[in-house]
Amino acid sequence: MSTPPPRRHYVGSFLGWTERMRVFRTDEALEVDSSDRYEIRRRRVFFDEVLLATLHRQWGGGPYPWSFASLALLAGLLSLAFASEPTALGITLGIAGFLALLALAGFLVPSWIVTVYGKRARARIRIRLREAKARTLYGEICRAAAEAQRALAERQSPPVVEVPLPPAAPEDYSA
Amino acid sequence: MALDASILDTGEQKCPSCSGTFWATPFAPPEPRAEAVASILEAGPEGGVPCARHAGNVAVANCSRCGVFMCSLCRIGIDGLELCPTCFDRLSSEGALASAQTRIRDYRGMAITLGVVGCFMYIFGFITGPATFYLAWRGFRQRRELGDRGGVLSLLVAVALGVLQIVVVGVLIFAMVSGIGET
Repeated sequence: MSTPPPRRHYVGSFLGWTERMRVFRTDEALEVDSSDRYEIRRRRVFFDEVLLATLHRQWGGGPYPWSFASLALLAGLLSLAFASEPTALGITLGIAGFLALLALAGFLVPSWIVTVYGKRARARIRIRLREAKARTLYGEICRAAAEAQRALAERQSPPVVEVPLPPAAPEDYSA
Repeated sequence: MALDASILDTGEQKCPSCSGTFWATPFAPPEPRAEAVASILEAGPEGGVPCARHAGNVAVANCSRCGVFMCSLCRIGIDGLELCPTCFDRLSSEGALASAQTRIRDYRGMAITLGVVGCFMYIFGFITGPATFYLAWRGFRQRRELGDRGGVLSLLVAVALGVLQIVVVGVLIFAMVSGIGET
């Protein structure tokens, strides 16, 4: 027995300070699973209800750079306690430097954010560094939304009724 | 400042708030039209069976679960089933319809959180370690049930943190026992 194909495919995520959004694509919608680490709330942005799709660039977005910067500061402050111990001072300063480098990289690396606004929900996907991937995803979502809305409009348009033409008039009326 | 979709064009745009460049594609989705419901009078004498809820409407399908006749107003198509509103309510409240689920327990998130928190409360590692293992196992199962890809790394990290907690507690207990033995 072959396994059924997956109902949905993972397309990306958006990490905020309090919640993490994981976005999946199904045939008819983008499924947004928002998690607060305890419960997942699922919302859908149906392709035939998409109002707007945007793509923009952001520098140093997300909580990672700030978290690394805070940890670097913490490690730097901790190193003050080891001022008289050269080995411990070196280790803590090394850790602080490494974390500061990670924070700096996080602030300098650009993120590409694809946002899809539906009538009832919104999906956001952050893609770090890979502009081509973000543009491909943006294009795919726009195409899927356009196709779904065109199909819905065609389904809803009134059927073309074939009106029978009147019989051709005889050539000779007097006959 | 909220963006007004009606002023946007397709293509490259300038944000009125930060003057940054972004790309936008506005859509004008068609408003869904209400489905016409055929009535018994329209169907004629041979038009058939009335809906169980709406006696004036023609039944167009049977409920996949209870078999009741239902009109197109009552019919709910979901996950390959055609359900009446009563069966839909029951199945969705039982969590039996995958597409109707909107709140799911996040075992992966809980496993990671407990794994990290448990490392700071290592004295309770004999409780938090196995609990992290259990949540990670449920996370692996949930991942398979939902048909998701990805998320394996975070579950493996949770398992590793669970192992770490158990090892730390084991070392502490061993140190205590051997210390007591020496005295």
